[in-house]
Amino acid sequence: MKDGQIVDLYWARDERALAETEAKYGGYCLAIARNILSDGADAEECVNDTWLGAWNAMPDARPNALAAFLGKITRRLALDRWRAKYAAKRGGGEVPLVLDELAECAPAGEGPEEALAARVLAEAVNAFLRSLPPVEMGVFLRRYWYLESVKDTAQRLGFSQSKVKSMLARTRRKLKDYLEKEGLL
Amino acid sequence: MVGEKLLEAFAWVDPALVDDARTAAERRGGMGRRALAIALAAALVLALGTAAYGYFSGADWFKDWFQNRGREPLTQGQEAYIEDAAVDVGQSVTAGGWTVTAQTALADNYDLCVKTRIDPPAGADTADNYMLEDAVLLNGDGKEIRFSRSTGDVRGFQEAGVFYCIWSLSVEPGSGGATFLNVRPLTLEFGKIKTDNETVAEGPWRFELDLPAEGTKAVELLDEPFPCKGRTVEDYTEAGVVESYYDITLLSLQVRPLRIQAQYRSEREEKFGDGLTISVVLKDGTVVPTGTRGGSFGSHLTDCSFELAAPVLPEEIAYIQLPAGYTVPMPQ
Repeated sequence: MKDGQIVDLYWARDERALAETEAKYGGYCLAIARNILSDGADAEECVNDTWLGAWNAMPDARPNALAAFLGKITRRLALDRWRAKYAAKRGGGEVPLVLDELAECAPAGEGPEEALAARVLAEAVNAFLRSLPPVEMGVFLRRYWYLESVKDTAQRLGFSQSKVKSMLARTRRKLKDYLEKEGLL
Repeated sequence: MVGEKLLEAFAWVDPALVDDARTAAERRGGMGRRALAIALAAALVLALGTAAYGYFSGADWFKDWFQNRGREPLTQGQEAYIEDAAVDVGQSVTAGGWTVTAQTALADNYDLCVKTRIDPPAGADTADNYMLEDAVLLNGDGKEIRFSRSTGDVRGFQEAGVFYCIWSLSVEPGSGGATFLNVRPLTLEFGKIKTDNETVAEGPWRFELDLPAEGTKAVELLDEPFPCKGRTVEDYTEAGVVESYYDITLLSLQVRPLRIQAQYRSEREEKFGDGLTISVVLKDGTVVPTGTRGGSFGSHLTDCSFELAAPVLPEEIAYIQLPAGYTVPMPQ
């Protein structure tokens, strides 16, 4: 079923929307949840909660990119669960590694101003991503949006792991330069 | 916690980019045998030389490029425009072992796109992409022409193991009346090849561009100031971006086939995140978005230019879409 038809089912409050969504995007959302949470049962619960989140959001939302819309709900739920369960001991999934990597995007001991509105940082990240060549942007988002492991990204794209790591390191440096240039660091 | 803040900020990445990252992986994943076929085809093209090169490049390449960038099929008028305006350049220059080929160009009076190919020396360790930098544009007397460069496609890219770099330039108002099409010969020179911030080779690589003598003229849409709204982002929520608007007055709105130039005065000093979002709606309903906005923040008067995702012809335009539902019709 096409995405537009699935969204129409949500808007019509037709419960077939949930079955269709699960059939089409169940594996996709589960992969995102598993990247974040090492516990398979937790990941599956997040995915089930994603369908509930989508049901509650539509209407009013009418997403143009249904996959990204659902993935974003899964990502948020999984990160919330990770924070509640693992953050203190920094265990589980790719999150601790990703947090350490992203911390490189600011000078040691400094960070974006606490008062800095999240929207400004988000705008800057969007503008930065649009300036990247497609492959670099894809690899960067695979890591920091989907929280995919370096190994999985390398396999998916047919690159060596060292190539993916060096692309990520270069792009992080560029992000740091960009944020500095925009006066956000 | 810098990492946490950035991880949160990534949640608000444009869904279209997130989807691109997902589908790009799928596209690439299906390329196993195709990659070999492409490599063989590339070798064949090299072996056949200039004649084969001409067949595979020029207008067809620009059509694909603009179609991918605009995410909409091109109209017949857009295709016809590209066929008329694109010229094969086919000049190669080697400096320091690095060969740069200006393959094809697409120009109008004030805007120029040049597709270049970069061949590293045999046996060189190659990077993921290369950029051509330090460009100079010269007229027939060797005098420099001032131009501004689009930031949208600054970086080079790789396709089937071959490196390319697109340069999109616009003549600046202070160029002394020069346009790309009335300067002959028009010389484009690149000074450096870079990867990230590292210079890997120094030129010059110099090309003489023989562009068509006439191009589509710019059309001014306003004959008096037009009060409307600028757009800013207030918040990002689960349901999407929360926008708000502020008062501006458009003083000039000029459409060219490759770019829109807008000058406006805002009632407040602009800040990061503020701006004018513009798209062009064609008579057949096709929406052509604009990319990079040139201009400055921290000012009440803004002169900025928007690079169109695909070329537009004045006669195909229905209206210009501005924020908050404001539209400017195309003069008849």
